[in-house]
Amino acid sequence: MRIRPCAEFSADFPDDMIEEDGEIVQFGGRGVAEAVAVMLQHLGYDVSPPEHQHEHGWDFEIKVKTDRVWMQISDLGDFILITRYFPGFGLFKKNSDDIYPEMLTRLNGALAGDPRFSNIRWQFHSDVDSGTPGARDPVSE
Amino acid sequence: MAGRETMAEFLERRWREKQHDGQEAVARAHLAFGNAIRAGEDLVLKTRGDVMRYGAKLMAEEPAPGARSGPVGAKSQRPSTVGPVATKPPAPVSQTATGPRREQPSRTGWLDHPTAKAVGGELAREVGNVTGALRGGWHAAEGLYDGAAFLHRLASPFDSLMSPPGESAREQLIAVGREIGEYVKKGVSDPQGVARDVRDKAHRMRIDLDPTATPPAPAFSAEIRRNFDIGQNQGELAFDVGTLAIGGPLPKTASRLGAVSKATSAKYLAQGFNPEGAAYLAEPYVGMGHHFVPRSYRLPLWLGGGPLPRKISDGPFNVLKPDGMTRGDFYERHFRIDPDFKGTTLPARVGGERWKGKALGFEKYGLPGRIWFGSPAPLKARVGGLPAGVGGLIHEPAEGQQ
Repeated sequence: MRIRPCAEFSADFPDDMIEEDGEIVQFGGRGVAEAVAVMLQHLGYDVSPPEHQHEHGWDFEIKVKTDRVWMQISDLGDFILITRYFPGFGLFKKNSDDIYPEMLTRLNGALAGDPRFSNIRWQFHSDVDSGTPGARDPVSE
Repeated sequence: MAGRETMAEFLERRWREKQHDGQEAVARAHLAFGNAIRAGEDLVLKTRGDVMRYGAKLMAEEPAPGARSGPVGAKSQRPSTVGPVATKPPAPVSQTATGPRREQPSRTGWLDHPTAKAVGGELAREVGNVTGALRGGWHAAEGLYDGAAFLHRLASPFDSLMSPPGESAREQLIAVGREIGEYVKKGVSDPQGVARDVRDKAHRMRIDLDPTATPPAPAFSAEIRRNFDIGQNQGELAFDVGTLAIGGPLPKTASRLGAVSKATSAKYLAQGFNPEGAAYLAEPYVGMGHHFVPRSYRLPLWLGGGPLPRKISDGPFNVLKPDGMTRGDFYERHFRIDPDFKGTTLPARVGGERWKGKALGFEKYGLPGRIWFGSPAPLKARVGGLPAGVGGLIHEPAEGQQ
């Protein structure tokens, strides 16, 4: 099983970047991050509120039992979603546990079903923003 | 009209002069002692006699501005440069000859023996020669690149349209020409000033190239460093002279053109940003920096499971934010060392363009590069590479997990 942990997509949201005196005090992507976080909450996950991470954009995390998934949304014209999986400590836990791929697959379904999101491409880290077409699904065999 | 000085008047005057000289000597010795402490030098002045002798020695070497001319100190009056380390390059050294007594570092033992230092210094200079020649080649290539970019801009009819006010290649060249003209004008009115500049330059060159121009350092490691720096300077000079026939100095000259444009936003214009965006990227970076251990990191459950304490996460050992780096250069560095940073947005006032590392052709560093270039200097200095590797590994993305 191969997991593409990143996604590029277009999102029809108002520009929410805030500038003061010509300097950016809040980078864009808050609305998109909140929408994705709400989506995951509706899917039954325990999601933290998105936090501003300056040039990086916005991030939040999802807890599933002792596991944790971190997500970051960056506004680069198209939006970029980066996810990372932090498995919890467990003596009998195996890397092949399905929590992470299942979460990404469910999120992909929710994104595809929301008309505000379009042109969703799942990518490996190294392919993000490289122009490669990516995959329609985050998980492949 | 002053009459002849009586013996009593003479004695009184000399007494006053001696008293004044004594105060001056003590003041100078104290100043030198303060400088030595700041420079980390071992200057030992244990008794009042030591202080007086050392101060008197400094006064004999460099009389204070406005010092009286007299039978004892009839030297030329130059600005005082009191202190045991007036000029330090090529490497911090101790002027052992200037102090009455200096403690020799004892921790290094036999390495501080003059023979060991001489042998080590010779080797360090030879190694420095090689790296200096490489440095010469690098500077030459860099100069060609920068100079070519500037000449290209100079020839372009669109440069003045695409550049912020005062930053077009033509305007920069005019500004440099004006500076040169002013220097020539100043030279005509003050020829001694030009002579002084030439003399200073020659003095600087001797210090940079001649190991005998500066005294040996008291410690073995400092002596190695001093000789290595001198060796590098010699190596670069050898490269320049050796490549004279194939245009060695030309790239260096070209680099001066490059230096003119480097101070501005030309690099970012060349990357395709509009003039306002390029000017913004050429400003010093003021953001939150790069977190070596990412902010997404959480402690293991047996350590509480929460984020790193803010004091550590945002402290100098974890945040890389090099001083004086432009926004554009910092974004490039950040992109190369942080797998989660793909790009960012510029403010709307400068056009709201996006800075995207991949689109600009930059590549991410591998793990060693991320550890080396991504770890803040205090962390590198304090803990070295091994623990720093932990931070680099935490950044390692899980790619295509099985």
